[in-house]
Amino acid sequence: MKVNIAKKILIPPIGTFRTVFLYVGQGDATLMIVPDGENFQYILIDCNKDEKNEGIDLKKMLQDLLSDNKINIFINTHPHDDHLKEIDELYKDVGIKEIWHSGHNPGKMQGEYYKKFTEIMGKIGKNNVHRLFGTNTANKIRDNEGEEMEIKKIGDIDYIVISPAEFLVKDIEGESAKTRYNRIHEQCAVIKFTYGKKPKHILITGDAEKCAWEKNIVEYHKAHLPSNVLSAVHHGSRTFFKENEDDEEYTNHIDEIDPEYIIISAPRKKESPHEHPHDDAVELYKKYVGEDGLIHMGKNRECVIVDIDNEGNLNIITDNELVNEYKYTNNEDDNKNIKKSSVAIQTDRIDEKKFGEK
Amino acid sequence: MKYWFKKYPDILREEVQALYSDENYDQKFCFRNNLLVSCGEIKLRLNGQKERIPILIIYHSNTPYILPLIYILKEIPDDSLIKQISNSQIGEIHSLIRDHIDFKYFRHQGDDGKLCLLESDNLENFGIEYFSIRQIIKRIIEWLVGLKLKKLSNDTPEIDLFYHFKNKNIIYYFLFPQLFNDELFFDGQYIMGKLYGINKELLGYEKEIYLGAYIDGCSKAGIYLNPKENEININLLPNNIKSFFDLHTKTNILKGYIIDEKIIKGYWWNVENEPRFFKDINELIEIIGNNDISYGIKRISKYLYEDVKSFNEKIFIGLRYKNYRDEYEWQFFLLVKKKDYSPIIGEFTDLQFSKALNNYEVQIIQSEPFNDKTYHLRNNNLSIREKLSSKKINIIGCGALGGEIADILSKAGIGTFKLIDKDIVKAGNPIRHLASLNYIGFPKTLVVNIICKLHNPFINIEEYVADISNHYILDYINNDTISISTIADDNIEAMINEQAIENNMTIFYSRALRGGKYARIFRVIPGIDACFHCLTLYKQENNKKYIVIPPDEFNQTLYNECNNPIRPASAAELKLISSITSKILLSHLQYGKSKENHWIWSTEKIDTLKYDEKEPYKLFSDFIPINPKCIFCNDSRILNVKIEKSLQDFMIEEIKLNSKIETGGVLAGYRDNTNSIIIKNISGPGPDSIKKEAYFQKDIEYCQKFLDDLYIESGKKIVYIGEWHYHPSTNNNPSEMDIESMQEISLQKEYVVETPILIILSKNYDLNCTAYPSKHKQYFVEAQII
Repeated sequence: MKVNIAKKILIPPIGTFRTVFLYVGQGDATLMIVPDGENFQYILIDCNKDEKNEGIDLKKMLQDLLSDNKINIFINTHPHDDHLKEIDELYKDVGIKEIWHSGHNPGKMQGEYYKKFTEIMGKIGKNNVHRLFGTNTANKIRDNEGEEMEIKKIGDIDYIVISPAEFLVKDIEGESAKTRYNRIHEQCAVIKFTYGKKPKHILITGDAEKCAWEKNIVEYHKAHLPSNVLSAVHHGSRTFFKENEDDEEYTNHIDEIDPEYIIISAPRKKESPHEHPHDDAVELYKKYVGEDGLIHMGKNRECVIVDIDNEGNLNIITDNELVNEYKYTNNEDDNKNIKKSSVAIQTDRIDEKKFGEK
Repeated sequence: MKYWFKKYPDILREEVQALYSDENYDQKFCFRNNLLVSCGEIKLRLNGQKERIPILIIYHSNTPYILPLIYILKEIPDDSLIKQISNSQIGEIHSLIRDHIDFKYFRHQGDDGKLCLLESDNLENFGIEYFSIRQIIKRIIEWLVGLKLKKLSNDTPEIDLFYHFKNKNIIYYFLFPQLFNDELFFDGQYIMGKLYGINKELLGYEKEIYLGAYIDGCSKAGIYLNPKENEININLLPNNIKSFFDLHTKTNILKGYIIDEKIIKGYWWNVENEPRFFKDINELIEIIGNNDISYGIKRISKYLYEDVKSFNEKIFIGLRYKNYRDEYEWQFFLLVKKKDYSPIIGEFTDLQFSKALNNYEVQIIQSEPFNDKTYHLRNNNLSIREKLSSKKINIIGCGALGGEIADILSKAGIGTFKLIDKDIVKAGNPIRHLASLNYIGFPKTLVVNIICKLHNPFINIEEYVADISNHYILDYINNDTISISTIADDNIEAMINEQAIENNMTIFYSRALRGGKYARIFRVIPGIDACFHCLTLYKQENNKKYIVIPPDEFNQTLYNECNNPIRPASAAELKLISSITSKILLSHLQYGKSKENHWIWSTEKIDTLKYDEKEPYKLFSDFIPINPKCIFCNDSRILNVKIEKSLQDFMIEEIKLNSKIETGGVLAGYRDNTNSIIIKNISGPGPDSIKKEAYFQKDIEYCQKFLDDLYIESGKKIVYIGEWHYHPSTNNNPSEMDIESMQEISLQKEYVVETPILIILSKNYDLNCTAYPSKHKQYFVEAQII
């Protein structure tokens, strides 16, 4: 009998909150399996498809995981393609019950998936679509129009929407299409998830870049920032700290977040079209969490599993089985990624042998 | 010495790659010599900490059947130690690492420091259940997290503290009753009673049973004769009496045993007639004297003089005579000193001896003939002792099935069997095992031996107490014997299967399924029957030949602490299965191999199963042939070698540089699943090669680099295949030197290839291709230019 790897790896023990940063190449996809009494709810934050870098085929994996169930909530931090790719197939073949989103309205320059995304929101019906606005109250979101506030728990965990701020959204809405496009990372959702008797926190940041933190987040949400696990902003890009490589870095945000572990969702630098993760950003991150506290998922093409149990114990492991089972395979496979020192152990060591006719 | 990685190079490559690239593990050293060993640090990221825990991973010589051995270390040792471990045999590692192990005194770390992390309960999956090192590392982290938080999630309720505890007392074994759980008591004292002698207590009186071990004495002419060594039933004597020599030399030890009545020493006489009824010692004297009292006194005093003179309390005697069928019979008596005995005063004359005898009363001892022939009488023509007494069988696994099978075979009168098991009897066993409660704590082999021996002392039983997963089959089984395995673990039985086929040994397998309501019994005669791996393939192919018995969701494994699965099934089911298995074995031993080699037994009907005679209480039997794809049963010889034309041209160009001297290099490529070798690259000799008229030695460094670069560039596909060289004559046959070198390659652990290829070109560029399987003769292989 074939083992269902998705169920085996992804379903946590009862009462455990499991967050899985999925390796999807150049992009983001984070699956949260949220305890709800003895059951679980399944939250997917962003999605991507990267065949070239052998990312996970989310549709295949989620079909295995959910069987006949649907994704309870799909959360989109911002509508860039590398956070939305395949959303149409996930909706069609896996199913989505609710959508929460940043409310960004991109211009025509936006990729093809935003259009599909809006169509899906239409199909789901406005009662099942919610908008994310920065708040100081836990478990609070808005209706589809961004008007009515609502307290809405997800299972047994708590969350707080930190960004985008309402005034910022209004400000950007009034801009030209081009400006809106440029400011998309400013309007990116930032959400903190909390669980456990001794509470532990995971901060999901999407691509929220420096100016969003500097102008709109740190000052107003200081109290909510401290987090144990930080998803590195924008695939390990330096835009979290500065606009250009030579600029002086801004670190008030990470000082406040004070993370213990940082997870970078990016392929290997040489495989990334943007050279993510940036070396200067990686060095900065390491200053905060040390060598072992920073996990770059693309390095060995692994997923990262963060478990918080109901006592509030937080444990992190990496996983290769999901990638192995569900990755897109291409001809340029990963086999060439061999450590030279391991070749001698893997292969024949020839020695002196005499040959000859006599 | 066999090296697993020569047989399973893909697993080697996969595992090494994982060891080097798992984010949860930072490998410090990795060596492959006799053993593949990795040492590094587990990265523990728990509650804000970033801790590193040193571990040692040793791949077992029986990989992939046996999981790697995992140890937690106090610190990362020098690379020299890891190298030394890698150079050792699996049995030697413990002494090397003992002092480096970090004992955590936590569940799932055995008394040898090894972690037992993955439950292996593999039955009827058919196919090896192999856990990759990535999975194992995750389990180690889970265990370490459990250690830190002092709890393990998802674990079985049964905690075997005794198994995991390092410092064991091997003498005492306590059972505690329900009253020990009384909540009223908080502390206090307890008392344990000894179970020994429970039978005597039930009986209400003592009963000691003895069986004759040997007799000796004088001939009719009065000459003392030694018994023949093989006429002594040494097995019935205490352990330190192993031979006739001991009987005569260890007199002090013997005296002790006699006093304790561990053995009984008595005297006997042959008498002419079957003894009549008699009332006292005087009549007994008459019988011993063949109706002559004085002869009787004389005969008796020859042996009993000293005993009687010193008024020994008890004197055992025996009479032997021929019965009406002209066969010898015996009668035993005990002379017991009377309470009101009259001491003899003065010189102890013959008269006084006879008087002194009167101080004894005669008690008769119940006795029955007991010999090979009479003992097997009741088996009649069903189990034929004459046929079976020369047969040998190995019983692999002495659990509920194996123990019962051993018992049945011993009662059938099989000549010799060997019991193989690693476990001891535990309190939960006797509910369905041959052992009774008073054997708790004894090795199962010993218990089954004792009980079988008590059921039939005329058979020979050998024991092998060891975990066979640490051994090669020839360590515990002789080539000329057949075996029955009741291990019921797919991994271990797949391992036995591979090794048995290599050595042409017949093995039967018997396993209880669905809580014992079904059983699968099958025979594997190498080259005739579908082997364990053939059945695996049939199952994977959904072939009708293999009847899949679905597991019973209501009868799942009860618990599985540290890979010791307890599966439900009561004695009613297991004894039936043992009996059927034994019957099949006995038929095989007595009448040779049957037409059928696969049997399914059931006591319940499953409608979805489609096979003939699936009615309950019928035994379905069938013959399942070898699977044509089985790598163990079929000739796995290389069928052909495919070489691209350009590569042939490359060799010829190399030769043309100087066609008077030899040249050569290495071959690289891969073996496909049709047993063809595809050669993709060929090297030249390299600058430091030695090229002479009839001698060639390649440049090692050059060729190694050539191979390593190819391996990386090809994404681990292209590997070393063998060698090529040129003979500057018309002879392209391999020379003795060529053959010797190639045979070395096939055996050496440095080479991962199991069957290297040698290509030799002659002066006319005719190409000769030979293959060199390890431990077998080389053979010619067709070379196709493509």
